[in-house]
Amino acid sequence: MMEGLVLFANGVAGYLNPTSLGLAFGATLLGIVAGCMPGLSATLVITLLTTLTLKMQPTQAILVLVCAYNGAIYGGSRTAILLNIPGTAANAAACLDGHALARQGQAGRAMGISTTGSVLGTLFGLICLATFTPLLAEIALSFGAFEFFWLALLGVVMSGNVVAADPIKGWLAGLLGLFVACIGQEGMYAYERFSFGNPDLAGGFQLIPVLVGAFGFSEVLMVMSEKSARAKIMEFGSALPRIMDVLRYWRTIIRSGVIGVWVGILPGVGEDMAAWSSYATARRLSKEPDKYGKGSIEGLMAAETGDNASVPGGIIPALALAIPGSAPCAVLLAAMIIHGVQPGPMLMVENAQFVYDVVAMVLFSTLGILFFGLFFIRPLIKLTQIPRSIMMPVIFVLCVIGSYALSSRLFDVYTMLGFGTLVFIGRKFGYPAAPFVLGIVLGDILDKNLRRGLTLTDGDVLPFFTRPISAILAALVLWTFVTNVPALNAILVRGWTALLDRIFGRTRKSA
Amino acid sequence: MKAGHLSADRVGGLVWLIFGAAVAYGSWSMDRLAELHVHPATVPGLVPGLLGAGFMILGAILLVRGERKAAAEASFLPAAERDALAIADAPDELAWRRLLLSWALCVTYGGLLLGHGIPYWILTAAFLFAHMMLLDETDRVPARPAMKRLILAAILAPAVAIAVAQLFERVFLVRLP
Repeated sequence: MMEGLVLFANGVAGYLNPTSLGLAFGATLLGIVAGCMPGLSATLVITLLTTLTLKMQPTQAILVLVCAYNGAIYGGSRTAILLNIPGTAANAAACLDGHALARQGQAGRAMGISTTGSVLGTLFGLICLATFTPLLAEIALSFGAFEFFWLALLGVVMSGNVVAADPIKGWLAGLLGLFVACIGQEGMYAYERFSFGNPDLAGGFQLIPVLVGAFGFSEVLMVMSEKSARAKIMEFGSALPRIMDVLRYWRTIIRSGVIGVWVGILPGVGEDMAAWSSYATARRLSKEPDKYGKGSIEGLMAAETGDNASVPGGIIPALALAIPGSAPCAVLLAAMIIHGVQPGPMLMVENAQFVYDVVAMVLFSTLGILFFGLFFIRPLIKLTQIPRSIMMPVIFVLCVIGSYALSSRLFDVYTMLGFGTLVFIGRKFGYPAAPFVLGIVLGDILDKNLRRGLTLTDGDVLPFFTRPISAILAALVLWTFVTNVPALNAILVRGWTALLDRIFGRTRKSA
Repeated sequence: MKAGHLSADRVGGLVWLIFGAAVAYGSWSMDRLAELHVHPATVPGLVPGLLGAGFMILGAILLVRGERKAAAEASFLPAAERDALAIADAPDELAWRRLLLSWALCVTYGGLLLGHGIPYWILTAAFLFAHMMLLDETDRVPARPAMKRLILAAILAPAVAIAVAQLFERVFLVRLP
């Protein structure tokens, strides 16, 4: 405990210099601005920033990414409240009550609640990040190849299940990501898979150009394919939070924080699900459920606390297990690896300071949110007025040069264009991007650990199902799959009913 | 679920099925490194083979489900109503035109012209100028006056191109394409 506090204090002290503070606040502001703009997702922002921070010191580069990530998740609430357009998917739940409050002339109050919820949610998540990352890493030290294989598979299956409206399509997207990760030299025998003699393919697809394509170029195309929505500036009063709003709903804040962190920890689920889960739970347990959707302070507080609490929540498994909690965390994980930080159970052993540096980064981004959220409202709203015909080509130029800058080869630009187009077409037909990206990030872990496990057992698959943690993870994967395929679900229900009939039927007969 | 998505599901299911079969075949015919005494359970084609099987199973589920739903829809909805649904699902023509134009400009810039002799900042400025000029018309109702649009694009495009080029060349030390 004391060691953790010392490391955290070191982390904070390390960033108390003009350069780091400038980067932290600048990146938070950039994240808020990007989050405000419908069409610019948090993932897109940190993907582009990853390419812009390649030459920076690792701790400063990750500082920029974490601050921009947290800022973007918060920033989307502005447009949700004022324009009824969620800036990012995570702010969709905030539209319901935030915009209703704005229509009642309480836009300033709604923004104050959003700022309070986001700040308190992040702070709650920050405490969990500092507490649970070392614990999870310690548990994970006992994990072997078997457990890591199931964890990687669970991440893809769960992400496909939760993110997509149709789980089958989510899983197909995840499997495609895993397959793309298989292309090129594999990690055990350096054998070239599916490269067809092409030297560029032999090296495999680099993660960053694929991510830039999947979240940058596809997003540009997505925005260009939608009907334009003109923003209207509305009048709003003071955005200073009211202390009574916090004191009255303290239970909602804590509950939403817990839900946000928990959803964040689940592999590949993401902030939007955290916001909706917090909102739905708050409504179910509320004394005034009829106010929800009509301008409920509690509802807005729950949604905003939940989505920002999931940001540090998602970083927990990324640091402790190298399994990202959400799509932006997948990019963050990739950025850490590019900068020479190897997340996973050994991180706490080899570089514990880095974990607490990340905690300090989240703290600085929270301070940035508080500052810009309270005193920087009008300029933010002005920025949302930039037309997409100007914004989108500029983003595309950054996508191109960002992909190229990594290795100075045009193949990466073509990769970005190809995967961007593919992901865009997929999204149009209901195949989400997040499981695909998660599949690419986790593909290598899944492949290596399955074959490592089989090497250890001389080809015996039984330990994958008999080791305690492995068995639980395998059951979770199987359960997620079976319950979402109607035909298999029907068989399961029939079997279960027959079993119950057999047991209780006999009992009844004998009675 | 929309009618368009249903027929897309059937086509998608078939595509995944074929793709999965191709991946499975490619994995099966992959070198098993027997000369290196690699255990058959750890061959390089193992995971791609399993993924190929996964594509085939999920593709088949998608296909069967699409067929069933289409059959159910055909028996429940009269032809006129189905036609009305199909028209309602048809994409907005203006949005499609904007999308295709944007995609074509992006691919021409990044995929065809970049790195083939034209200086980076000139090519980037030309791309930005073209995108801003050609797509602003469809983006704005009422459209911005032509002269205002021209002046805005003529100032912004080279300014952004030069700024990006300088940032990557001088600050990030990247040799531009």
